[in-house]
Amino acid sequence: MFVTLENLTIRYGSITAVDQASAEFPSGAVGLLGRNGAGKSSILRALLGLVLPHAGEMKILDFSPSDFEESRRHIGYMSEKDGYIAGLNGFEMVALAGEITGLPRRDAARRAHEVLYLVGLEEQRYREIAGYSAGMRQKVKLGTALVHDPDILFLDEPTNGLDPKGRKEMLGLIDFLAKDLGKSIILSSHILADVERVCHSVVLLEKGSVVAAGPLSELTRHEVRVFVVDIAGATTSPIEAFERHGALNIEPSGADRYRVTLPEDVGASSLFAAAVDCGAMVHRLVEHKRSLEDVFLGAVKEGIA
Amino acid sequence: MVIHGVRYRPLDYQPTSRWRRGWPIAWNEFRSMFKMRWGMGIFLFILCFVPSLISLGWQFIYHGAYQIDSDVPWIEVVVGRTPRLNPASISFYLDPILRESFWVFMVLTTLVSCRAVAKDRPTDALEIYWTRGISPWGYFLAKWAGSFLLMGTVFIAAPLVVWLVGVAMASDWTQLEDSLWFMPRVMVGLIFMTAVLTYAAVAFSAFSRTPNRSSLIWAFFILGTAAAGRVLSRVFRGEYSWKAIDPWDSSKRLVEWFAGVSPWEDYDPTAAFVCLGVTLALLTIGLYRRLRHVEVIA
Amino acid sequence: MTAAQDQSRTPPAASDSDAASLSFMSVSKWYGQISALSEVSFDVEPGVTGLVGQNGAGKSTIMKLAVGLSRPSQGEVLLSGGSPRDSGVRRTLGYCSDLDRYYERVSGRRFVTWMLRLQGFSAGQAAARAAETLEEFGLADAMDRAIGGYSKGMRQRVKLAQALAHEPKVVLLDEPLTGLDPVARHDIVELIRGLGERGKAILISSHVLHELQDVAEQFLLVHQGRLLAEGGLDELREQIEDRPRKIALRSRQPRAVAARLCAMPEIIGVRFTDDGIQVETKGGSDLFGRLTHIGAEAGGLIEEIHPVDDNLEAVFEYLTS
Repeated sequence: MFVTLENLTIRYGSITAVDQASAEFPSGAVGLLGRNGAGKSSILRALLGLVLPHAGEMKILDFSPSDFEESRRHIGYMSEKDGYIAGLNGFEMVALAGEITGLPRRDAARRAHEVLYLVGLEEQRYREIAGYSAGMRQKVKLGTALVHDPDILFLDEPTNGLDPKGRKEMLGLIDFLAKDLGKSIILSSHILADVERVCHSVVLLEKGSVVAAGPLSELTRHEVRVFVVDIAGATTSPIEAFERHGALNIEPSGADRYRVTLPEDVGASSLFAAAVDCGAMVHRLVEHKRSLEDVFLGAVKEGIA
Repeated sequence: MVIHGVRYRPLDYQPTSRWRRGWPIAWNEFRSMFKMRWGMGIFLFILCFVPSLISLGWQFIYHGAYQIDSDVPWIEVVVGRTPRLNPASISFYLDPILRESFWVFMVLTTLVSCRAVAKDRPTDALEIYWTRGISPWGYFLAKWAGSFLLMGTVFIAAPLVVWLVGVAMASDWTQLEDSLWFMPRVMVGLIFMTAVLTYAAVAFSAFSRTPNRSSLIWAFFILGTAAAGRVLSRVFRGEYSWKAIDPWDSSKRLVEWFAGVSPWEDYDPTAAFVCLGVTLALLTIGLYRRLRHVEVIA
Repeated sequence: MTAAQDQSRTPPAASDSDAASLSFMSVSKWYGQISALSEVSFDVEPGVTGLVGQNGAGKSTIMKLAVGLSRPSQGEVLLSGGSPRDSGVRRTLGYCSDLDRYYERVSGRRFVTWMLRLQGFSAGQAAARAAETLEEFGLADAMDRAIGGYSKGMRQRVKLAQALAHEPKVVLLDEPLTGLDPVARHDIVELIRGLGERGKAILISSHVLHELQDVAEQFLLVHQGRLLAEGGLDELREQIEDRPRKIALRSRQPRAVAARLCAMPEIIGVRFTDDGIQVETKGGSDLFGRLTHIGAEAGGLIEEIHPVDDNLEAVFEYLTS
């Protein structure tokens, strides 16, 4: 666990933003999800030392978060906001960020160049940030988060404003950081597809409390084994064929598509056998899982009730 | 051939001390004067040196003429009548700053110092600075240091250079002997004044949301208190203590008192001390509220 | 609504009932040297159509031309059979821009009422319609509060309300889902779908492709200022059936499966992944027959088959590479 929260409570005046939240973030990439105002940003701010919690404990690796100047050297933060320092170009800004974190000047400059190559900012690094496009800004932000080689990264909406190509690049980078470099990442995003792509676990907040947490594979599992099968060219009835091979329930869902429930002891091969039986070809066979969106909506609507 | 590749390399470094970390911020503040459009900043900065350049130029004339042609009495007459042109008097070193550089102070603080913190608000730069290795107060001190460096080149370094040049050019040590008893106090006074005025301006910049607003309010504050002080001292018939409400004037008075010079419009330095102290105290109390991490969220 | 009250509204410009709701006919647009659109032609019919493309591909230019904010350099834009620069025709249009700017101190109700009055409704009608639309969009409680206090989701809903309160036939939505959390997005997607079912022609522009897949039935793909492709997703996919595609197979014995498949001439590549293999094929569907037979064998060689380029993003990438 690289971050643990225990009964964390954060208040802004009379508003309780986070209410006795407890969660563990295992190493690797973990998604932090929640509606606007559910408390995600408050938790990140508390971990960065921007807000003092009212009650509860936080632990980041071995550090006491209250010694922020020390713990921040091990955290890289990519903010949602497009902050920049007026008058500097991309390279200068990343180098400055490094120096302020504690890097000696030359190390900071050298490191800034290396990191900017990693994120894909080429000659644009010598231009002023004020003129950057959305994609370039995100790259610079990621650069400032990586310049001091932290073990932990907090990424807040990293694909904000990016077009499909940019998103793909950014997610590829994050994947690389998590899987190849072994960095521990908390990814806070509204785009569930991004979280599904990169993270292996999530922590889901609603109204300041943790309403779901755990590995994605567990959260998206169905209680029963349902398969979605696309068939083409059947000469006899597919439904009868499925029944003969042990299906519990068969539901047509769209042209040539069926949702078939199978008992525990029957495997996918029986679905293939059924297809052969009715002279059809299987174009697609997937175990139906709940999407992260379903998990999200389900957990949140319960919270409302 | 050994293939090293250009993959990501982990980093090993010796973290720098807290004070060192703020240095790039201070340096950026100093440089921001020179980054203005069309070299305007450079131009203005050079203009700031005019009073000191006049003194410097006079040093050349004084020592040069004195050496070449000792029959020229006019220099002695001029020097005797105008302390401002007498390298053996305190006025030679203080007047260029205290009497002739009010506008230098206005330009440097309005264009740089009182925008220091304010310009980081609209660009969300505070979040970048404060989520790294320095505290908000460390950041403030670095900004102050930058402004101090900038104004210090005009207010501290230039008079020092003028003096050193004079001492070096003099034909004997009389120049040095004459001025050695007051120069340390002049220097301390000027350092004090630069520090206090830049502190006030940078502290001011912490309260506004945008740099232009900050410049405007600062300019009004300084010019307003200066004008008000003058008017009130006339109204109260020569009660010049009213001028102390202007931070420029009160720090000027304190420097003069410390260096042992009597100003034209004399008043009790205690008034200056109190007014300046109150202003700085109020600003510092305000800073305690504005330099908290929570500010980033607003 | 009585007939007298109806008079206060100028009827929309007469249009041929067969005409598409929005038509672009060989439209080109350039700004000085910069070419934004190059001979683009399409028709938008009732239902939900997604306009996708990268940043700078021409989506916002299309929106601007459709709304009448600028004129095409070449070609013609027809909205409900008339020119979008005609204010009568514009009454049949509802536009939701991607900007998030309001008069923050005004209440939602007042804002929508004003917008309706600008359309030509009388005071009483405008107020009634505004309230009705805001209720329909779930802002019944919030409509009297200042917009400045609304959440992002609510702001988007006010925008939608002002675009729809006058019952337009054509609705243009520019990036309506940005910045919304999943719940808000789900709600607005439902709203938009409902509108499509009511027979309105809706054009949604977005650069987050997978979001549009849930909402739109028809798509317009733009790239480099040109219309790259148009149609339903299934049609689009079918079009690329005969082209090289990738299929992912989950298997615990990937090498055995790979060995069986490599003999087929259609296979042009096999890649081993974490949980199976990814097969690249030249085209044609013989492969599936083969996979079905392999899968039916005892021993459960194949656990899952899923075509990798099944979604809009994959199609788009394939087409633009």
